[in-house]
Amino acid sequence: MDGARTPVALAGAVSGILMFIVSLFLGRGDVAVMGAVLLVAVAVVWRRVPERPPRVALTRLPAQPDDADGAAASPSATARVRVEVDDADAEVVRLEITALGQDVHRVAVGGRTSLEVRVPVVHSGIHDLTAVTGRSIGADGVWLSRSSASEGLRAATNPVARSVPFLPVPRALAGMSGAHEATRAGDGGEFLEIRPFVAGDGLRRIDWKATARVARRPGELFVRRTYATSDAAIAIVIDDGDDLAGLTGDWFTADPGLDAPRSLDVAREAAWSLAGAYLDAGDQVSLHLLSRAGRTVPRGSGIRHRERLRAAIVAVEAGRRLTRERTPRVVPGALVVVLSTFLDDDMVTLVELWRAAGHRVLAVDTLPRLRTERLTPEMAAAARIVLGERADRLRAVTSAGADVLVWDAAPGERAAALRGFARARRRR
Amino acid sequence: MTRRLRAQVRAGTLVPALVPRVAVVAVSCLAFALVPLPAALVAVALSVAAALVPTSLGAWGVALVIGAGQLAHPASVGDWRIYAALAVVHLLHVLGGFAMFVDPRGMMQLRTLRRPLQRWLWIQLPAQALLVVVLAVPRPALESDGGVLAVVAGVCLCAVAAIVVRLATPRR
Repeated sequence: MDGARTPVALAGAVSGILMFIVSLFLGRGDVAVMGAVLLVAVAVVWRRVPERPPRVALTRLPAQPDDADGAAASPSATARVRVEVDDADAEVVRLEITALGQDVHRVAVGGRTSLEVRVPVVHSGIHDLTAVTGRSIGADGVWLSRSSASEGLRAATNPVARSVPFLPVPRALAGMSGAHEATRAGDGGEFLEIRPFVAGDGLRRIDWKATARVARRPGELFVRRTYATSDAAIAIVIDDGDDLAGLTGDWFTADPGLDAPRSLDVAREAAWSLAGAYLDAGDQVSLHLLSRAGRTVPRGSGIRHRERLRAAIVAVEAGRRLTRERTPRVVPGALVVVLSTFLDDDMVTLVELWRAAGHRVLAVDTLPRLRTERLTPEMAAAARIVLGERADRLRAVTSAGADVLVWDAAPGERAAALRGFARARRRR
Repeated sequence: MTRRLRAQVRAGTLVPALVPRVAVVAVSCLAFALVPLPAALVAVALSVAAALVPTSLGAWGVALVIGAGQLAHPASVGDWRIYAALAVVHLLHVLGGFAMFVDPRGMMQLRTLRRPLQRWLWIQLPAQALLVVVLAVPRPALESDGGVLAVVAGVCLCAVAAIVVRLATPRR
């Protein structure tokens, strides 16, 4: 909409002129003065309507120490955004500030002003922190400019990296470097055996103490053999088909304005924590999204690969799942880490598919801890049915030979479960 | 307990943007002291309409009622109501313009009211002085039959028409 004059000047002028005419005919100078005052008031503020809307600029301010919402292990923080408005012609600028895409604030400010918007950020990922449009209002409202283009500020919030003390690994470790103990003999691992020296053994492997203790005849040598250390191929698969809060009542309204953690928050946190831990161990990590084939991060390791993974994990957002069209291809023998809420059968099928192909599968349940307050009886019944079906699916996943890890649990429980999975490798 | 995420806007002292609309009604209530009762009731009714639908231009209707209501009593230099009516009529023009374009669902910086009120004051000071002069100077008796007055009125009407046409024409 273009800027234009408003009826204010017309109303003021007509009122003033009417008073002036009445006073003229009735000989009342006091009423004539009132009319004159209105005409003067209109004349004083009479200007051309500016062609340009107000200039609005947004700047992200650095976080202050007291902005954090407490826990260091939580992404909860307050983003500070400075909004600068500049329109020398305007007396008032009407701003519409939208925070996080749904929280609308309407503020009338001066023509040249700077204000600060504090946006609570409790979810990880990429957010539309603030979007601002403005319209200038002339003195006494005699003109209204057209609306400025929406100025927006997007920001990425990194998920928190939780400690992962034990790492499940694939049954077969094929790599030549890394921190995991392989099942074959080599260097770097734990003790394997003491055996007689044969041609091809390195001289540095000779165990002189064992030789002195065990040798039966002169010239007989014994060498100490160790397990090799190896890297693992890890494929992290994020089910980004839905984004649910831990508040079951919210499943029916899908309100993004609540501060409860959502399933994709948990998935990002789990993916980032596991990816970081595996990269620290020197493993090859790849990332697959079920809704966007083009966002796959091929396997790799190192600092630059860590940044690539971080960017991809932060950018994860809910989208239509493409598993029926395309199943993510993972490296043979890789450990497949599936992060999902398991609220539909597609994920069970995928897990069974990977298990049948010989992959070890770690199914990470990313549904946040559930709260069922303020549900109507119908909602409670629906939630019970949905959760019952989900429990059946998790049992099917376990039956298929996958390990199930509930991520949004107490740290001790999570560590205990991971320890069990890490130990189970040699048994399978 | 789950709470709703709400951003905070820090822009100095903020007041609800309903203030100009409420002020229109509050100022209009002075009509009970400035004009006779039936006119005062009309003025307040118009002000309520102006507060609910500012584009109805009810604020200027109130100004007209208060201005015309001054005809109900003789002009006297010692009558405070005339001076108050002058201030109220002008203030209604300022508040009416403000109320029309500030979104009532939001907030407004208190300092946005400073410049309109300053301008109101700078116009009011000479206007009140002029009003004192107009009321103090005795009216000269007309010797003619009013022909000159009719000519002047005709010229004024032409000027009115010209100004109305000019203001009503949309301009950028």
